[in-house]
Amino acid sequence: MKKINETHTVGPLAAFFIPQAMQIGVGFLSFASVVTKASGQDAWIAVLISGLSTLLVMWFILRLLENERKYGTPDLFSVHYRIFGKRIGAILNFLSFLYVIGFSVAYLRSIIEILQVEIFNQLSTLSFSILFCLIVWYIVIGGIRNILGVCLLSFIYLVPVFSTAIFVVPHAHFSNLLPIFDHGLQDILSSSFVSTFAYLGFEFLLFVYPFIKSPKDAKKWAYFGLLTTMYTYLMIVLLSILFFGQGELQNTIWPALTFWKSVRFPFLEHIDIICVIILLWNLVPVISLCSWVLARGIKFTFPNVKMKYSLIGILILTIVLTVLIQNGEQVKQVGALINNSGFIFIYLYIPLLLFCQWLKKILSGESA
Amino acid sequence: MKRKITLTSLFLCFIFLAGCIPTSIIDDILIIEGEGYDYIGNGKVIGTITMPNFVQSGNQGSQGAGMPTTASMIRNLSGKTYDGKSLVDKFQSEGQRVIRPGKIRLILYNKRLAKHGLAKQLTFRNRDPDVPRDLNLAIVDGSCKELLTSENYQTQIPIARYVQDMIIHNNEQNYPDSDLSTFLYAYYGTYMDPFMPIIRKKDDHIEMRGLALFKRDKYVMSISENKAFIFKMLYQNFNQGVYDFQFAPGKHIALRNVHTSVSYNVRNGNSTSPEIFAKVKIIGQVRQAYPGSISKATAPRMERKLERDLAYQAKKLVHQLQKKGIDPLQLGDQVRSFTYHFDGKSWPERYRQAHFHCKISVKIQQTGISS
Amino acid sequence: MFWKKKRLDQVDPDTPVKTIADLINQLKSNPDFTHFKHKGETFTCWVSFIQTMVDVDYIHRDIFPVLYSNRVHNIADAQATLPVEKIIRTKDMAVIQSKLLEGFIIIQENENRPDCLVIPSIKAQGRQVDQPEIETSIIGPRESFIESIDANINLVRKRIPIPQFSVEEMRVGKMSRTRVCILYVEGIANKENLNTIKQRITDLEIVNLIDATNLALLIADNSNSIFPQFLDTERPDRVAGAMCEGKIAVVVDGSPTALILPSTIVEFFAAYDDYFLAWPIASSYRLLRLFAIAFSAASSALYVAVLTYHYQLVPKDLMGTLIVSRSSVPYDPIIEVLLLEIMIELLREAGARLPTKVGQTIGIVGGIVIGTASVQAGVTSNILLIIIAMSALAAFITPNYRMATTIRFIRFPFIISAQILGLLGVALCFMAFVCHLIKLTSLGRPFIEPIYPVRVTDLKDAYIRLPLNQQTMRPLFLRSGDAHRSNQKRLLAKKGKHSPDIDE
Repeated sequence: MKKINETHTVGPLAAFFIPQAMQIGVGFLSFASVVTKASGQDAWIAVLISGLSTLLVMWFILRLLENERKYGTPDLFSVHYRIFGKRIGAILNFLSFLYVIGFSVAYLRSIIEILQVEIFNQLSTLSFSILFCLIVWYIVIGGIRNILGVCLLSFIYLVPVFSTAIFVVPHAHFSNLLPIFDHGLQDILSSSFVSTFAYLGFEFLLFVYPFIKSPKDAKKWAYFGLLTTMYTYLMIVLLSILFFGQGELQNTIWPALTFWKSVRFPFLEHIDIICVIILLWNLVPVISLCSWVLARGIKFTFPNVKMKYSLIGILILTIVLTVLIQNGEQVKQVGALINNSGFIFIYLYIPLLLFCQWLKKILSGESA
Repeated sequence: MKRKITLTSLFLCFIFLAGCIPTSIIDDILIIEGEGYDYIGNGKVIGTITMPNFVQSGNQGSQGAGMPTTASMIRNLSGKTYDGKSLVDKFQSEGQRVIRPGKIRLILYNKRLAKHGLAKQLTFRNRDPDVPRDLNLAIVDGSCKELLTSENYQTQIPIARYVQDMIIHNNEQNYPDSDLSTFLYAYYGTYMDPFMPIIRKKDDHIEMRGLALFKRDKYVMSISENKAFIFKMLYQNFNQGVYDFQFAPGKHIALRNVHTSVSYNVRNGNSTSPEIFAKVKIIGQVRQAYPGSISKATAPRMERKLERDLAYQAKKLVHQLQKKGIDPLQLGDQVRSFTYHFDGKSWPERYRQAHFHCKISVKIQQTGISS
Repeated sequence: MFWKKKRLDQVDPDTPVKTIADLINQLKSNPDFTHFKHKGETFTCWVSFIQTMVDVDYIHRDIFPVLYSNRVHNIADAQATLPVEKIIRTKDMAVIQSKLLEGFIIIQENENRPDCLVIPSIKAQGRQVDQPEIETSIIGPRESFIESIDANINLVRKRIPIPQFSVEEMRVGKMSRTRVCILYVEGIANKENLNTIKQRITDLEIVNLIDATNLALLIADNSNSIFPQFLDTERPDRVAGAMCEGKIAVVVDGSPTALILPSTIVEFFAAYDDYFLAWPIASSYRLLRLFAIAFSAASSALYVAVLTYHYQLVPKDLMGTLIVSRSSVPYDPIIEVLLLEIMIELLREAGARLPTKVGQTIGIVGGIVIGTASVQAGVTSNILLIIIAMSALAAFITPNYRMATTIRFIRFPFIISAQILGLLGVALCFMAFVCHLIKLTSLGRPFIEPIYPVRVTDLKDAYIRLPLNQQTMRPLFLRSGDAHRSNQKRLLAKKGKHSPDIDE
């Protein structure tokens, strides 16, 4: 792998915005009702626990990548090649491709589903995904710097969406939070297992890391980004519990949307439509980064294929896969599949990889 | 350059592909503002919808010449259908334009339907993503159809707006908040029951008649307006109500509260007879009083009287609710929030035996500008 | 890219003419070319100049008396005696030709030998320094650039009278041979920027350069973009201010505007007045301007989207007003909007093309008569008329004319996408534009800089303008040679101690 050109690197703030943009997605619309299923009003503890666990995983990831730095490019692809050899490494890379494309397809399709439910019932999945992928194509051909720009803007645009939460306050039922710690550890843990899905996405740092300037500062920002996500989710869960109460929460598929329906401005009503549309901004960085990672991975495996050509293939594949998912039930299934594999990926595979790396170091150290 | 042209044409092509979405142009649709359901027995209802007719006559634009092209030539439609049917679908065949439910302000049910149960109506309304959550619900004492379609009101404004304004305004005063959002909160909530205001057509206008209390989706009892103050006092913090206190036969004073706050405490939540303590603080003014009944000196005495009366009324109200087995004050939820490992299964039984204690402190801040 | 082609002077086929005799023969047929032999007592020479280009009075008064006097014996004497600075003695045909055509006088001893004196005597013709007409300001300096490059450089230089102020001149245009000057403050302006701009200008392959804005289009980073990437201004104070920040200015002869580069998008929305007002006021005006621009670009598209697809968004009480105003309109919202938008564009174009006095009349006639009439005829709704008029007004708030045209142009894609996919279409269109802006660079520097990449110090003078004494840093995106505008420590020291308490 060639050394990365200085002009294509991004500042340490990328470690904040990239995981942030990848994590917060359509998941948060349904997040509150899923998480409170098992542990009711104590769900916020579960969210806190799984949020803190992501910090640990982030530590693993950064450790893995920092150890790798002296051997070459610190990203997942080259880690695979170095530790497991070319053949097994290629298979593992292929598996991670599958995960990445699944991540982007599941995401794209679920936001299209929400658009179809909330705004246009007749919106065609095909034409919307084509339009959308054209925009993504335009961004990705600009390279990682543009993707980071989109991540940052999506963060800025989502701030007003989240600040609508202030309208909960006059309708908050504070007694809904009491009694605290009423649920057993098992309930809380099962809730926090469910809530880890919402945190998925920060593992994309594994692919972007070599492009980040001054990784020392980046570390701090990476943790800070995770904390921000945790704070956001915590607020969503707390406010949903305050606003809805358990009975209604379990009856609602997308609590956030339902909440937005009852917010009223003097000059606007039905802000759920506007909020859903702003959420599209969250989609842009996710799909762009996924496509970029795939294109880069393909170039890593087959150095002759130029990224700008493989990108078109990837986007067409994304569109085809998106169209293949037909109804809400399938969207759910694909989402669950991606969530489970993501869970395995970050909580089992990454520690394992770190261990393998350590093992390899020990073994080679003895032989040398 | 050639590549750019192909790309642009592709882009345009897909834009037109995406462009096959049915429109709902604001003046080419029938916007429902109010719905009414009258139960006539046997699973049948008479449904009524009203649509505002914004353009009453030829408007300035057409110089009074042609007929305005606006949609709402029809002001209301009603007809018989089965219970739980969406009225939008039912009346589409009678509307000259597409009927859209996105701006419903008001849904009315008659008392008979409320006794029969509202579950079907509520579920389909809650399922429709188009329907706003800040609409108001009310029970009609009489016929919804008559209330919605009558021509002999004093005012010309659309009836749904009239009723909704009335309800919202009253909710700021003696009546507790009662939009769809609040109703559904209590309806789906576990240890609580919903309520909505009752309205009635009275000759050439409409009036609020009190609060209808539900057991799940079924109407159980109603309380009057003066009691609604007591209800609201126990239900939420508020600041604009008026309580009319008859301290001796034929002698009244009216307490206008400046601020009322309520807090609960619960002891022995899981015992057979939990004890619920309500603590209400009222800061108020007197603007209307029987001559000579109140002054700076006598105010404290009147405060004590008011406290005793309010506490008595509150206890009486709660007792009444307990007897009927309904819990619109959400006392069950209060008990749950104070109790670890709350025993929810036996709660309906224990609710009837719960002891309700009420401590009220009234502070009259001001008695007006003349003594 | 066109500027990467071969250098101009290598390709230029018809200059220079081989010998001086050829040149004189070529010009002889022109009635304004004067070429005669002067035979004095001590000195004989050939004098040639173009009458329309030189200051004839000056020649008669100051040059000929010297040539005719007895003190001059040869051409070297003439050079020493003539009361003119910067006399060049040269044999270089290229110099002779270009100088002659610019309005210099050529004096030869021998008609056929290229050895000659080149004496400057350019006729200064052109208008006086005038008030700015596009970027007017209520307070502050009232000088604006004129068509003479020397006067323009003078206007800037007198504001930065330091030796580091540097001017580099080059000529652009095969036929126009327009003088283009790059102005910068040495040590502050970034070297890399300077080289890029020089490279781009020298690489230009054009016949004729008319104006600075024309040059801006030619050297833009992305010439397909609808966004202007270099700021053009007619205010010398603005140019001087920008140069002190470390930017580079380009002035073109015959053009009353200067380019400031590199620039970021927020600069296009900053009026120079902002620096003359107290910072809270200036900041709120900037915010007002930004809001107006957002309104101008989006309002009619939002009208189309909401009225065509999203009736739910309209507040209950506005519903009636909207429906009544639209009730007699026979068209869909999109037709109605396009009708009015195009009408406003026509009015604007007519106002710009017509003589000033007629233009004003057209504005009034168009605005009042056509507007009211179309509402009364029931072709458009009066709410829309208000919206369109306001958005037209808001577009003209943009201090920069080229940006204002961009803002007005942007509306149309927005309106069309609003018709196709409602608010979703508006969002997608917005996304496309924002992604384009993220990609855009100005002289290789990011165009939307204080936002992305985030530079907190630059945000102090972007959407809002914080007090000037807090702006101790030069804009970071310029990578200026000297990042600090003022020494923070000294600044604090001068301020003295804060008083420890009230009245102490």
